[in-house]
Amino acid sequence: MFGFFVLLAATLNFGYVLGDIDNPRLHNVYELYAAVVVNIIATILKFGDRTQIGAVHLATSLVASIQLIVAALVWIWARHVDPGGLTGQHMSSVVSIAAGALLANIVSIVLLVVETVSYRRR
Amino acid sequence: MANLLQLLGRGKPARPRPDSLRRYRVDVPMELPTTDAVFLVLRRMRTPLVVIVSVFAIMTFGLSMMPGTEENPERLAVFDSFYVISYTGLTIGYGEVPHEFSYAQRMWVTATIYACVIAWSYSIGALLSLSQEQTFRQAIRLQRFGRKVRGLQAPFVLVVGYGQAGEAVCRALEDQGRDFVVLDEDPQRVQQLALDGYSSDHPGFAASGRDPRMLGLAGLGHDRCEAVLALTDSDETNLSVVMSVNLLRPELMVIARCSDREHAQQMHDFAADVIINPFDRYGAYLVMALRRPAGFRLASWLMSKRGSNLPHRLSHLTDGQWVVCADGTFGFEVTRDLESAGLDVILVDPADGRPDVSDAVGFIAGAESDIVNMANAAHARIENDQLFIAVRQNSAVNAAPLQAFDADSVFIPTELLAREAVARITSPNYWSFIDHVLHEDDEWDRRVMDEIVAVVGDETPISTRLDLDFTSAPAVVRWLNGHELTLGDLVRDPDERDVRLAVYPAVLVRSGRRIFTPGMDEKLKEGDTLLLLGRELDLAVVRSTVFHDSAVEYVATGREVATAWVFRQLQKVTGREKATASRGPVPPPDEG
Repeated sequence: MFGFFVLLAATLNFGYVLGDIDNPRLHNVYELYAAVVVNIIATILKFGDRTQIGAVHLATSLVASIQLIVAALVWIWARHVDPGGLTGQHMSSVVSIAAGALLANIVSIVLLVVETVSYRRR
Repeated sequence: MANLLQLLGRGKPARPRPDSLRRYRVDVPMELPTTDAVFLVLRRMRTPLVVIVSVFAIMTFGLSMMPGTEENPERLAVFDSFYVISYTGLTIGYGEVPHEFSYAQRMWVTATIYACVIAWSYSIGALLSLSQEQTFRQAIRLQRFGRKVRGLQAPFVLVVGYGQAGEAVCRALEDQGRDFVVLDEDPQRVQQLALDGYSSDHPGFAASGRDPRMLGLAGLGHDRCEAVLALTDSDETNLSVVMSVNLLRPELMVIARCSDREHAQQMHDFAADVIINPFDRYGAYLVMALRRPAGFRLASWLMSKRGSNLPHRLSHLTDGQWVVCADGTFGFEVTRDLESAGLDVILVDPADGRPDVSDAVGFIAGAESDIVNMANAAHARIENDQLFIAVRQNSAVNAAPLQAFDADSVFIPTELLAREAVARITSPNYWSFIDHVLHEDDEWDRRVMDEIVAVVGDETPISTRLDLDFTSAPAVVRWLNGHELTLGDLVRDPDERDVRLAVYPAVLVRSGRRIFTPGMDEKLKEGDTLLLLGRELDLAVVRSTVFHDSAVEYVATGREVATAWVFRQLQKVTGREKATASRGPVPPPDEG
């Protein structure tokens, strides 16, 4: 269950980041939106886990969620508030923040893989 | 007499061993596996939270997909729809922004309202049912208890077992202004702790003292824990507390209750500081009351509750035949004690009917049932009204009828236990004084009792410890540097030095040695420790005297010294003048 959400979060995140960093047409807002939601669910799924690896999972998911939420806030600001509209400069900062979230998600996946492998060995 | 000393010696504390049975130092366990309530909440709230997030996500996405009206054909942006869904989901909304909705959008918002209401009610219901759950409440209570114990700043005593004895001990501890933590297996008794009306809130928890982790949570590993009292009515639980303390915190003082010899021996093996077997003690006290009435009166006075009067001398207590009507270990113990004091004792089983007491001088009704005891005691009194009657009272509810019956002596095991435990825990010096009283001869006891009563009065005195060092008696230390101060001076009233305060110095500890009832002309030295008995206000006066240079000088010499610096300087000048004046020009010897 958790594995599904973590993987989905990472793939959505990756898909959003992919493409020219300052071209708004290459970064679909719905993809960002889905990444935020799935990441938040992945974070919730690790609530109350007292194992060491569970705590690290919670930390990485939380970091990814925060990064993505910040990216979404920047996008909202650029799209609705800034008089200049959604420029390439704005877009590049949104995507770079989302790329940071991607890093956290990749760490999550590495942890997941490590956990799975060590589980098999036992 | 030798017999008697042997008797009392049996109840003496086990000699504290230099080494405990601990070989490895192990940290006191604290955490129970399922204690953290927060984690429990978070784990249980996973599904409800995921449901809420999903509903919001789907509804936001759907709204942003719905076509707009003809005037505003554009669909809502993702942020706009998130905004609308947020206020709709949480509050059932307040209008259509940024412009009027199309019918498709309105239908979607209607669906959102119902979906959100269901999601919220499900989550709130889950949270509420969790908060009703017994395990969760237990976890919360445990956590709160642990936090309270960890937050204790003052030294405290851990009391395991809050029955009659435990309650009496806690009351006495509170009288002395000390903190304590209570553990008892029975949740009702722990609730009683909150209802018993202590002046401050003392942490208590319903758990067995057999679990070392519970002891740890209750403060066994805490720096400020001073002593552990095992007062449950189960010997095995008490033994397990003694073991845990000996192996985990051997430096702490342990006082344990015990009702049979086998367990007492095992507690000795684990170096319990004090083991109190009330059954065993009662016989010894009875013999003491018979052989050494003054010593008995003084000791029981010093051990009784604050504010009790000097006990009466037990009358018509004489040598002769004693009848003990008791079952269980009590009969065995008390018979042994009386016999070893040279009395002629007949032990009868209460099941055999009413005992014959026509030739006896004393009767002890010591069955396990209060009703049987009362009946036997009443019968004994009818048969022989010169009899000394002792009755064992097992339950506090029977106190009033027993008081009306007015037996010569009432044995309440839990009270005896509590009194000894409190006397020992008050301070080592206080107990050493009582111990000294128990072992001195009767003449000495009578003299000391008269002295104390003359100074302090009829009510049980309060004890206090006074260290003559720089932190707790700076003025005395400064004064002793070059001058002399006697013990008699210290107990003078700093307002009028001819008045003696109601304070009786019972013990003087000097370089590790105890001097009992030191003389009034004893010269004090820096580093001495005093155990003072007296009235509360007068003790407070002594404690303040030792902080003020002028007060110390006044009680020592009678010179009134000004408190303000200016006047002191003035006094020095005039004093010097006076001194030179009085030395004066000595009249020259007559040269003839």
